[in-house]
Amino acid sequence: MTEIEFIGVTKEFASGLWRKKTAVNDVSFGIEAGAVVGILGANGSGKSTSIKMMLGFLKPTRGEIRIGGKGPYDFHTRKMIGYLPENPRFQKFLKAGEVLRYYGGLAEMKGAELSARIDSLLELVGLKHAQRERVAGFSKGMIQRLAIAQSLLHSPPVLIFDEPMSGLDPLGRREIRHLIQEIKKQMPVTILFSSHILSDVELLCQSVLLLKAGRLTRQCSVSELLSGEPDQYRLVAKDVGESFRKRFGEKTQQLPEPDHVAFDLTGAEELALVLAELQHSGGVVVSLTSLRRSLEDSLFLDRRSSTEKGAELL
Amino acid sequence: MNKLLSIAATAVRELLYERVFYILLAFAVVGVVFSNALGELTYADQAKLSLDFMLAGTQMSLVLFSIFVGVGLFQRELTSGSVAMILSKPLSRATFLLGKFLGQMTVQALVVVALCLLTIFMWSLGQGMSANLVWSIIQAFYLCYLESVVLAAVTYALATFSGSMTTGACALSFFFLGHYRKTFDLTLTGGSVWGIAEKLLPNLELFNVKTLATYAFLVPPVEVFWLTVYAAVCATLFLLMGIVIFRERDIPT
Ligand SMILES: Nc1ncnc2c1ncn2[C@@H]1O[C@H](COP(=O)(O)OP(=O)(O)OP(=O)(O)O)[C@@H](O)[C@H]1O
Ligand SMILES: [Mg+2]
Repeated sequence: MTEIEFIGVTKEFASGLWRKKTAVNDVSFGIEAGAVVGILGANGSGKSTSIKMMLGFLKPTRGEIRIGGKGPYDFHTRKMIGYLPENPRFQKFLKAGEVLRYYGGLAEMKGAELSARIDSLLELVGLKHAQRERVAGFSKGMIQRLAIAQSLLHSPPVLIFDEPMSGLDPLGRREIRHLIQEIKKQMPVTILFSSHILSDVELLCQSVLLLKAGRLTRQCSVSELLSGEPDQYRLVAKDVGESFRKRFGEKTQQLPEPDHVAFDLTGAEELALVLAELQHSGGVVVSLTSLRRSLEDSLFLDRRSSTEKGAELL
Repeated sequence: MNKLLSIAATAVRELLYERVFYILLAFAVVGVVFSNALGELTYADQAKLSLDFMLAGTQMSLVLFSIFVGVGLFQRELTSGSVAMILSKPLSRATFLLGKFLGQMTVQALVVVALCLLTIFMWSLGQGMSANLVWSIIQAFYLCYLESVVLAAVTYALATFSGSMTTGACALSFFFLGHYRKTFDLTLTGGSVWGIAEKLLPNLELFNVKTLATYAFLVPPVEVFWLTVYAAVCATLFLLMGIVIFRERDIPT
């Protein structure tokens, strides 16, 4: 069953008196119920605009959006959706528990059911200790968690998260990732979230939507996205011998740390070769990271060209 | 209905945490107390003047209250983005707007009652009181409140489509135009545009009984009733206008 459907959706914003700017351009896709789907795109590619149209905050200039078969303005649609905005804000004077009580009331929950739900959600997002603290004193990470808890209150079958991991430290990102996996395990939900971090999408999603300057350039599974992508690695090593340096001279890159060098390698064979050589010459591996450089280039390079185009227009 | 009340209740709480609320309240209280002190120093006629002054102070602070609190409560929530999560719940935009308005009107009513009691109390300490005077002061305060309800509705309607500065400025000019329409009529030599505008603008001067109150004249109850109806109709029309615009507009936050 198709849970979320875009049919030829276009959104234009007025920019200046006469000119229009197309933020989302003739986008069509369908998302099956129960799927976890990522929207990937550079800054300004139209991710948030698409999401806000699903919530009915923005009206599409053309085209149609269906969620569970109904339009975004339908009351029942809103009951189906849990939403995490890009920059969640709460009224500062409320305490964490009160925020959830308030929003729960607006989502037609009450009494003991609501109280129990609030308890379990605060537990789930790790804010139990802050239940009686005012939101005004919350860090970005705590706000983000509270906003996620808020989106889950009425157990909606569709979750729409706009950059759930933005502005978080690496640990925070990992925790939110685990949280999303945990939610998926506990409830049969459809999750759609936007991101510009490839690895987040890779770890969480079955399929992706690629947006480029407002257009949907690809909808495919994550494995399809990554196939054809050459394996690229960045290896950092120290105490590398002179002979070794000579041999891989053109690939080595001196790091600020003394004796540390980095290698950008393509393919498993090259990696194996370098590792063997390194061991032989007495070098020590400091770190090894997998890169998706070409994919990220293809995703985000476009932004540079579009801003350059913008600069020319000005 | 529950959602409406829950938004209103939260708005009331929010106001009680607002600094601007206490500043305006302090302004009004200081006004009442000072103008009373002024009255004590002067002769009887000037005492009447100082009651007029007190009422004018109250009126002015209520006007500022309606406008700035309306901007703070309703519009700031639109621009700060906290509205996004609220409106993502099954809740109409009209409920949100009306809930906020209801919350503000509740607090405003409490403020008016408090200021009215304070005025009567201060006045009876200094000048002595007749039953008539008490009633006419209560009437004057009540009509001030009606005016502030209309102005708040205007502010909400403006806030649905313009920024906070524009909203504040337009609502204020609305207040002045509503009061001094006759004066403007003379200066603007009664062009036809003004003629139409005059028909459209609510006549806020109708709510001005300050001078009557200082002479302890009572407005007939029938007239108070019709003024209440008039205020309710005006406020409803502006709120409806606001709701229609608010429903149609994009919420970019
Ligand atoms: N309210 C608005 N008025 C005018 N233009 C807008 C508005 N909102 C978005 N845009 C434009 O639409 C385009 C898409 O914006 P959008 O916020 O959807 O991008 P995004 O993919 O979410 O980017 P980011 O990764 O930075 O969050 C941008 O060029 C932006 O300038
Ligand atoms: Mg965005």
